[in-house]
Amino acid sequence: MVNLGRKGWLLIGGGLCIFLFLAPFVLRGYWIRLLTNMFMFAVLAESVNIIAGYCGYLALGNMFFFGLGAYTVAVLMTKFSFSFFSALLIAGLGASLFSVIVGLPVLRLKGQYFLMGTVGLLELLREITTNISLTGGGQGITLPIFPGGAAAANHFFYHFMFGLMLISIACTFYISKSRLGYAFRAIKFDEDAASVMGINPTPYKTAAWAISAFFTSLAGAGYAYWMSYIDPGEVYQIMPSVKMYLMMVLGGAGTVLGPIAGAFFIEFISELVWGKFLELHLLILGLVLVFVVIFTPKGFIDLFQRGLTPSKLLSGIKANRI
Amino acid sequence: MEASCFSEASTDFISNHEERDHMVGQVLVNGFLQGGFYACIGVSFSIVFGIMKVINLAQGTQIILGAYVTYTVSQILRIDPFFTLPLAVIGLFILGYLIQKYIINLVAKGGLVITSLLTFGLNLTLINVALLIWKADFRGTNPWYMGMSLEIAGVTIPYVRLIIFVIALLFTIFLELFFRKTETGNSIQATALNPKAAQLMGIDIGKTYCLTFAISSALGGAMGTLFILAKPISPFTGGDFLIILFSVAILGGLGSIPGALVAGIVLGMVESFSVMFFGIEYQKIALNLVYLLILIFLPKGLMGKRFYG
Repeated sequence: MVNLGRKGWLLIGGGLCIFLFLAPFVLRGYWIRLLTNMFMFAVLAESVNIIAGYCGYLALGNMFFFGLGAYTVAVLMTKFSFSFFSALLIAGLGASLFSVIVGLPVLRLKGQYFLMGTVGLLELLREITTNISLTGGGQGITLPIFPGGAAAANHFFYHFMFGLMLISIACTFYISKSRLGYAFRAIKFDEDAASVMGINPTPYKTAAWAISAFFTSLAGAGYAYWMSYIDPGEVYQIMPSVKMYLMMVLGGAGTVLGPIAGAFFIEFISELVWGKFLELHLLILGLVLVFVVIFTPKGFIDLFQRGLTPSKLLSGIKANRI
Repeated sequence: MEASCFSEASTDFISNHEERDHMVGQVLVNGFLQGGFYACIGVSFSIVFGIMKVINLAQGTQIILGAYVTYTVSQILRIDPFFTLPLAVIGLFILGYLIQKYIINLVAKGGLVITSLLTFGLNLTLINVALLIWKADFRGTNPWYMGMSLEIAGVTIPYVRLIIFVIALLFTIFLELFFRKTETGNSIQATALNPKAAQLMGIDIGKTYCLTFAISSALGGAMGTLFILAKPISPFTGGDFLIILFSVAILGGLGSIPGALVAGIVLGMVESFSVMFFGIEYQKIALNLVYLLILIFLPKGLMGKRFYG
């Protein structure tokens, strides 16, 4: 890696931010939407990174916070005529509260059991949303259209997701440097040892899940207003959840910027594949998943550090194989 | 006049009562028959989970692949779908063996994220392959005995369901005997207990894992054959099994086959009684709720041995 020093990296990061902030004023609609989508997945990958990458709790069903946020905003805006931002605030805080309430029993589970529990929650919330009239049932729900035309909407959601991504990065950066982050990593490494060392795991892992829920839910809320139509089968899917994990693993779990890079990469590939091979989309995504976990289980950065020669690639497999 | 009124009312009462009895009986039988099937698909998931600690998210799709084998062979050869059972078993056994040998074994020590992502990737791949071959339409078999049923004491038992139940039960018992009585079965159990110690005793872990996954997959294939007899399928049907697989594995206890049998029947009952009490739209909600409650309050299951945990 090139050593630029702290100032160099800050300069590059700041320049990139300004560039991305100004980009929608020159780009066409398609690219704006593509980038908005990338930012959204970056937020999702970063939020899953907090609970799974730092804290080691594999919330595979984390997408249910996305659905929860989307539906909170949709219901509040259509049925109770809230404004978007007040609904957004309620969606974020509501999801965090929900994660705390659900987390008390569910976070007691470990490993496979926690993973399976979150998948169960995802399915449960989808079925409930499909069957109650408040949410419009299986027909879905139509939100008010963003006032001011398509171009203004594109810019608004671009900057919304971009801002959300920056906040999530800042939050993760803060966590990684703070006491909280040390506690998360200790819990991931060995929960029993952490509690022996004086870290009470319960409040920490609840906090991790609540932060993760907050960002996931805000992304869902933005998505609902952006698409202006959502249905339960779409927002409560397991597939984006798995994609989030793929992004996190590819970029490097438990790093600040890794999941963001992973999200950009995977979404870019997805977009290319969607365009070229519509019928093979699942196959290619599936094969990417398989190859990533076999060849780069520790992510890109590890791969570059090891070098890209075939023999080094194969040596990566040896660690995990039987 | 009064007497006739009374008698009419009382017969009404009786017939209502009888009807309700019949209904409860019917619901019980439905739940029981469905439970046998759930138990068996649950076992197919549970053995991989219990022995290799891998959550096989592709198991639902493997069941569906078994169903497609039955569909295709019975269409081409124009034979009864039941006779394709051995083909589905053999086909899925080979597929499972190859998947474990050349893919999952490569990351078997990689931990939970890695193996879960891998099986999900396999799931997507298999779904897409099924989509390319059989398209997204719903496919079903329609054997001549489809609508026929047995009637005992006012309770209707469709032959197809009964046969599915019996075969699923036989498979489950056979598997339990295999694990208990044969040397290979014992070596699989030893590997589950402690892979390193098993290796020291001369057991080839890689091969044992391959065999375990192949058995699980073959069992799934057999269940696919049975499933397509009762319901039409599409490549995406596999996802519907996920919660059932999870619940049977957890409620039954990790890797315990008798436990899975009981758990399957309990879930079948939950499903059919929730339809009776709350209506069909709440069936999945009830199942999911029961699943989460089990996970929270009974994570070791009904017959989970500490042996596997």
